[in-house]
Amino acid sequence: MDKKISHTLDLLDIEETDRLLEKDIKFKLDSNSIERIKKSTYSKAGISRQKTFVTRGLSAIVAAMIIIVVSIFSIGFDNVVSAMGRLFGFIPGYGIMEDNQSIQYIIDGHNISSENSQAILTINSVIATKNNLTLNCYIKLKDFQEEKNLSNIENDIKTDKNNLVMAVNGKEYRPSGCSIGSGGKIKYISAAYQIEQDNLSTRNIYTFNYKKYNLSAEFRLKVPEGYDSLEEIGPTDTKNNISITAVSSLQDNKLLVELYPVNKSGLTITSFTKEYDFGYEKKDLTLETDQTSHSYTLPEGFMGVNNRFYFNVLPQEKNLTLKIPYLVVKSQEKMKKITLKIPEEGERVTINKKVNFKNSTMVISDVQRIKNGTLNGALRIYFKFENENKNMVMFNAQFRRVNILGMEQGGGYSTNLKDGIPQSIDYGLDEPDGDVLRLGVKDPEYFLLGEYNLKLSNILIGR
Amino acid sequence: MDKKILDLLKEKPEKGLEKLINTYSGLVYTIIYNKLNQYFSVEDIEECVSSVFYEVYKNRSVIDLSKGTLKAYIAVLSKRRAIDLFRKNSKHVINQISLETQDLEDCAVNRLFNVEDEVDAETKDMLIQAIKALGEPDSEIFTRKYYLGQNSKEISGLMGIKQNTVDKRLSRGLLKLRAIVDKMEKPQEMEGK
Repeated sequence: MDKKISHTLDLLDIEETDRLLEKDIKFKLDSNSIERIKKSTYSKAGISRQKTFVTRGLSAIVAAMIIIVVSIFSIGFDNVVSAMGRLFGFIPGYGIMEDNQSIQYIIDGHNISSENSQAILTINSVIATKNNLTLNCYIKLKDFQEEKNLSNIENDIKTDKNNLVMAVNGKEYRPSGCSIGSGGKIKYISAAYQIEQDNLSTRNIYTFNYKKYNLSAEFRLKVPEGYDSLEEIGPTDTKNNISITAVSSLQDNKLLVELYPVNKSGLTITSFTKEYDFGYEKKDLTLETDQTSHSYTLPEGFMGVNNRFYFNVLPQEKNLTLKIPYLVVKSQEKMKKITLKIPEEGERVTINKKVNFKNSTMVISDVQRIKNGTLNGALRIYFKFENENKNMVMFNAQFRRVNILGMEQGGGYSTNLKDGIPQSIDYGLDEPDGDVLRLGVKDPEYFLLGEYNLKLSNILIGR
Repeated sequence: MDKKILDLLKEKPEKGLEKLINTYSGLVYTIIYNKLNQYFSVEDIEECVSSVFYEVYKNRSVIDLSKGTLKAYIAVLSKRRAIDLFRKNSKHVINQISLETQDLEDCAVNRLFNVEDEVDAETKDMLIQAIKALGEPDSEIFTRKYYLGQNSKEISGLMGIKQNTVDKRLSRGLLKLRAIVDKMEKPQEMEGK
């Protein structure tokens, strides 16, 4: 109830807010805060009589986020071509950023790891900005027992934060924030630490200690290199305002290709490969050589969007070209609410209800009440798509049950595919649904067409 | 007052900003602080507050007072910027079990703000009317609690009412509002035909 009211009031527009706040309300704020806010605002506005004032905490967080935004999820307003003229920074295992001024240091070395009888800890990347250090690592458990109880996994993650300790110059730091992907044999961790500038330098030795597993790894920092172009980092191709740079290395006698995008499209990349078994027109990422076409294998596990692909290439193979026929992307837009009348059991009703997104339209053509072995059955919802942009082929979206206030409720659905493309979903019905099912539709997913061709060198030659 | 502030911002920006911040810093700070204080430092919150004022300054020529007061414009802007700040930094402040990174953000942002959701104008209108219908001082207590995010103790201090009384009034008012929200919860006429 409390949440519903607060949530509804959060969404008031200006006119509605006016009505709610028409009475004058008294506030209390200390004069020091007001003074700091004024100084900061004057500084932003370029009014010179005030001294420059930058809050340390936020600037560090924002700096760290800039890298993430550019390298993985960028929603930019200029395009990749204009970005080409800038200086690039590259952090192996992490990403590409357009301007590395905000990054002072990165880890010196790569894949630094340590091992004991329980697990193997590997540090993927470390970046340090002013007062902030972010570490990404993973833990591979040797004796893994699958935890089936979700709440145990959640509790485990909650307590884990305090086990991630960074030490430097005799001082210990706990994360100011972290993300943990868990529940499987491999745990992925991203932890951010607020560290004083004095303790961030190339002279120090840093010890990362995952106390839960009694595993620690030491590393130093170094100043990152700058690159004048993406091609200096690796072969690069650009389509639809997204450039992809490939970086090759040798791992366990296999060719490992890591893909690093600079994304100015306003869309979020969710995959470089097919999503379901078939892929768009049965195409998928491949490595072509003068002798054959190689399919890829994936790492044992990954967090977020996988950008690492392994190929069994022979040393004598030449003319290696990585072909990425399309990207899978999603467009983050406001959830669209729909209300569907639930027909009688077995009955199929044509409705042709349109759900409009920025780049395409989902047409819910029919609804049918079906038996699915549960008490209330399910509503099968058939859909098709109308695409305005020929390079963007919509193929899916996320469905959520909502209440009349538009707030998400529990529930789930299964997807029915034809040639790897969703054709309909079966949304499980509950008794309280009555004769209507209210759904929110969000995150339209697309195949973003335009083949990337990245010419790689065969680093196995001469081995 | 609003027109005077906007005119000052255009002609004498320094004075205009001074006036703007003196007038609305309490409102902006309260909204942003109560949204973000569990996750961000006071420094970060003050920086966000300052960003709101800077945005008003940047938009000084295009703000249309015929569409609403400056107070309402600033209040809406404050809510949006608090959400934006949380969304931008959600990776640093959340722990989740999902392996899909974007879900981490979505999940946390939704849990905090439900920003993906839409509420129709009729529902919002009913709620505003219901809060107004509570009469004073309950209407202000409810606005402080549910719009500004203040707790009973803060409300008590600012309104000069005993905390116990604030709690009782909130509890009684909620009963009245519950009837309205329950009514809103009942299925309406079906769409999708």
